[in-house]
Amino acid sequence: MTQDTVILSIETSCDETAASVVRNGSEILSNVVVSQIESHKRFGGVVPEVASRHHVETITLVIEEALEEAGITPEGLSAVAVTEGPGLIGALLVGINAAKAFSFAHDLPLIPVHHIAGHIYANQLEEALEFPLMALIVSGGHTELIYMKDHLSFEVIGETRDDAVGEAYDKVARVIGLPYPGGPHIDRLSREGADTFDFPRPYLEPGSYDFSFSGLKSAVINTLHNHTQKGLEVRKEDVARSFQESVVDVLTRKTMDAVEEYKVSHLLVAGGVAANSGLRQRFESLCRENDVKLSIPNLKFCTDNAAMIGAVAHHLYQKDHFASLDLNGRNFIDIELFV
Amino acid sequence: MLSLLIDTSNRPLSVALNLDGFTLAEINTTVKKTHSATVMDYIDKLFKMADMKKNDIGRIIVAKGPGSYTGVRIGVTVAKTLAYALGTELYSVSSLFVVAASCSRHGIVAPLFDARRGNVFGAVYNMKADSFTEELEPAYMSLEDLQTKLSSYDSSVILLDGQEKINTSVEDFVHAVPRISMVEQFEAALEKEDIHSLVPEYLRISEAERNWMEKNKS
Repeated sequence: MTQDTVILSIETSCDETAASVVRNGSEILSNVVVSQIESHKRFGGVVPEVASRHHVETITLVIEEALEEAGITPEGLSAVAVTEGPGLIGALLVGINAAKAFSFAHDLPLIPVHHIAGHIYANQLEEALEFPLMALIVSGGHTELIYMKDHLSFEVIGETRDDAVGEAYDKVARVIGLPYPGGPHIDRLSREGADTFDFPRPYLEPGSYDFSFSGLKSAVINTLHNHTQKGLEVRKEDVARSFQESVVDVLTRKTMDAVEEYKVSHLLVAGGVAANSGLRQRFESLCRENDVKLSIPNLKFCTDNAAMIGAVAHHLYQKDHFASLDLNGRNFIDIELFV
Repeated sequence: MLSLLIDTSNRPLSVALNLDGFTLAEINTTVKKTHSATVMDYIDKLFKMADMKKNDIGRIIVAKGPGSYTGVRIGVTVAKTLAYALGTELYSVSSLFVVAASCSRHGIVAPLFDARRGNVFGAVYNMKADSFTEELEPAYMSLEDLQTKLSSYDSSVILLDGQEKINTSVEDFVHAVPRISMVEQFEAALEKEDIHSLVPEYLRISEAERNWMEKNKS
């Protein structure tokens, strides 16, 4: 039998300090996110030491706000959940030590959660997951295709061999003079451009579900360099569109191939890059054509948040997947071996 | 009053429970272990050792730095979250003062931590039995500068835990293991803090910020 839960969750794996209270893994009672993006903009990317410093500045305030907004006292909680990894280690440690201290103070079980499992379960905050399913995780740190037979069963069938897709977006954005984070800017510009450059589509060897965006990124940089040397004018909109078309082609074709091979009827797309309008539109039309149910969470659940950690924690609670007070952060955790 | 004291600023770790200033239980280590994995576990053990309840704590005292950036963050995060969750008062103390108080020496002492490339985090205190004066407030400086400042005193002692690389450049030092249980004898060294706004005393901005400021100076 499934036990009812009310879980306080904490997420500090990168540059958002977040805490949330979620009931039964799906009903959000509060979802507080303090973004550090304005601070990291000046560096053109997230600086780990700066991120860790910001986390410790706001962590207790964020927890307090999550509880107050939820109208829940610590006595009303079933457990405390926290992102164990993967992520920036110094950043993770702030959330983990806060979670341990809170669980000790209130005698609550402590639930360690895999960050990517969180991104997948972000969907559960809007609708139930239907198994078997395929999940594409696309963000600044991750590009993974994960097959799930059932709850908490994760099989990584493809992943990036070099840059994460969001990382490639940020680097290309920097080259064409767009501010950090580059993804939303390229997406916006690409709507006014055409695919004139026909950049390569890195499909890798046949049958592989792995990704590689580093070569594509270099192709964009080299092309721009050549044009500048020859004194040719380059339309930024066209570069953005051409780059995005290549990315969307590769991501959608591999994903739809996997959906077909693994005979799943539910496709989830999650992570910050799931907010990309070009990617969303292509998946919408492909899933309609192929009669596949598509779920892409609301933008606020695509980017890092703690509610998604609480969504996974509900299922981990049922399995007594608890940690002791010697829990430590890990910058890499194999999701297949996580539960 | 029951006090919980926490210092994870450098490789040594020190946690203690004091009742009315007298130590009930303490754990002090200098082994190379991740404080993130051990500190909450050791705090839990302290309560069991001392047969005390966490709800009996009146105040938490944390060494706020300087030291290893990650180390001080762990101590400060645990201290402020515990203080918030248990509704106790929160105090901070300089991690350098913890070392000064730990070795029970009287006279001029200069605790220092290696900050690499010939630099140190250091301070100078004049220690008496149950009082002290701060001759030089905790600062980031070159070892040379600190030694110059020390030369103006008749006698002085440098305190090191002995595991820092910089000890090879210090001719004479006294080995001191941080024992944060000792700081309650020096109430003037403790500073009352607002729980939510307490942050570590790093004494240095991050390298990325330094580079950024350098670049944007012109």
